Amino acid sequence: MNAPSLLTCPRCHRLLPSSLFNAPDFGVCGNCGNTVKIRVFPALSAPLSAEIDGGRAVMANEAACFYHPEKPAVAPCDHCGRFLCALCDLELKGQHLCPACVESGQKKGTFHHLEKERVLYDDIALRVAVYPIVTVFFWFFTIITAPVALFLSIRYWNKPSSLLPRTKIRFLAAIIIAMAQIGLWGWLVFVIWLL
Amino acid sequence: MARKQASPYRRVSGRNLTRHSLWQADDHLLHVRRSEFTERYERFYFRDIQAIVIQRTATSRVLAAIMLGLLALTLILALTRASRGAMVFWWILTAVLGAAALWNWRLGPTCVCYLMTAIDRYRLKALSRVAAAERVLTRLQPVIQRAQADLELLAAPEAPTADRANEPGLYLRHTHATHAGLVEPPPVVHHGAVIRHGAVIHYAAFGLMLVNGLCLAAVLAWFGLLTGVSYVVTLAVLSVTLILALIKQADTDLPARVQRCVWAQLAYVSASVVLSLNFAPMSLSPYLRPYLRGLGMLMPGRYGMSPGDSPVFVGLSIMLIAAALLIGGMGLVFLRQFRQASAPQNV
Repeated sequence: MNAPSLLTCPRCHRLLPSSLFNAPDFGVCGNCGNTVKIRVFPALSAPLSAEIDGGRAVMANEAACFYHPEKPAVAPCDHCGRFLCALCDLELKGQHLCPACVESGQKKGTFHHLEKERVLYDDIALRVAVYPIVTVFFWFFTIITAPVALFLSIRYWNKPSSLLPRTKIRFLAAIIIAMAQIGLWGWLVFVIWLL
Repeated sequence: MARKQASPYRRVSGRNLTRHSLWQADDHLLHVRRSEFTERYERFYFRDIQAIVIQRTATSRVLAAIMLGLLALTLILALTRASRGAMVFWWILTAVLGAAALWNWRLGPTCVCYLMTAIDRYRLKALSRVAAAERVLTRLQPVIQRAQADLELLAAPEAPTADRANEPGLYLRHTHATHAGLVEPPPVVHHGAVIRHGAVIHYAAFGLMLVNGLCLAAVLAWFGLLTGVSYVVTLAVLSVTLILALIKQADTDLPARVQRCVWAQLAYVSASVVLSLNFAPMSLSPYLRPYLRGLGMLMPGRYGMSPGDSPVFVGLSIMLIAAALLIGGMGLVFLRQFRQASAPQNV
């Protein structure tokens, strides 16, 4: 591939020779001796389109961008309908969106493909159920933690967990362990009451 | 009930227990970082990936050296113990270390993997072994090329010319990763910068290593509380200095041979810590005998001994003294050469 040398060595930050690009084996940075293997892809050498650079100024009888009145509009926002120039037009999963809609969608959690973080409630429930038993000395905390684990499991059962493939086995285990603990407490209270 | 949720992601790298993992969707890669109760996601669309760089590192070799050193020590201790309890303990430790060394050898050399986009350079922490990184690269290469098929047509006729340096936006595209696109990077007096920020701590580390070697020689020659404590104190200071040097050198362009010396120091310090743990009861027993009875199971017969009484201890000590003088001396010489070579550029 005829790619210009735009990459730098991760260690010394000097430009790497293009002879190292897509070489079958590891090569050595001429400056610092760092051993690297580099795979470059067409995006590295693809020219920037004029649109991304900002484009030309708006002409008479042309629709202008809502955010940049001096730039011509290239597409309407699929969410709010505002006209957008090439700079403001954000393409997400085939949809043309404006930055404001993307921001609000990210805040509201409308766009799952913009999610940066998820809380794993199944892990929390399981650990709340298991930790007091594992630590042995704090077993008596199960009088509080068992109902909490049970609540967490039921409350968040249907809430989206991880983005990755994941079963409900942790929730299930937390429920079983928590119920067993509650059962044991019940039995203990019953025995004390009998005595 | 425990049915798997439908997910567009397929695992590319990383295991269930690891903190970082890499997943593939139809149009992007997902890098996942797991903390205690959360998962953090970074998406890299195949269309935006400019390059993937695998940088080989020496971590696996350092790990192997440390593990083999410890393995040899525990083996010696296991073979020389008289008491059954101590023997069992050291044999178990030897087995664990042996298994860890084998596992490290099986995984192969280590690496740091970077993914470049027009915006930034990202470290893929899920890929830390060369074999795994190459496997992932082989798998992703056709997918990325397919996603960038139209870009390939655009890029092909273009030759790398200096004219592109004036292209608007090009500089911005590579600001973080390169601090310059096709434009030659601004002149950096990098050697001077390294001397100021990194090499001082390296000088200290190599100097301390020589002092530590001499202290160990003093322990062998004049065994006593003073020599023992001075050896342990210099070892502690050296350990801290070494950690600082390792942190500092990551972002400098110190010569590779100096950096290798620092990694060798790490192996030395690890071996020294084990040795000092073994000899501490000898050094302190006349003073702290009542408090050290518990160590008797692991190191029987150490109380009241001097280091010269144990041929194993003497042999290991001599090896460590030689290593300290050799590595410390070489490191100082290399640093001096490096400083001399960079002196004209600092003017």
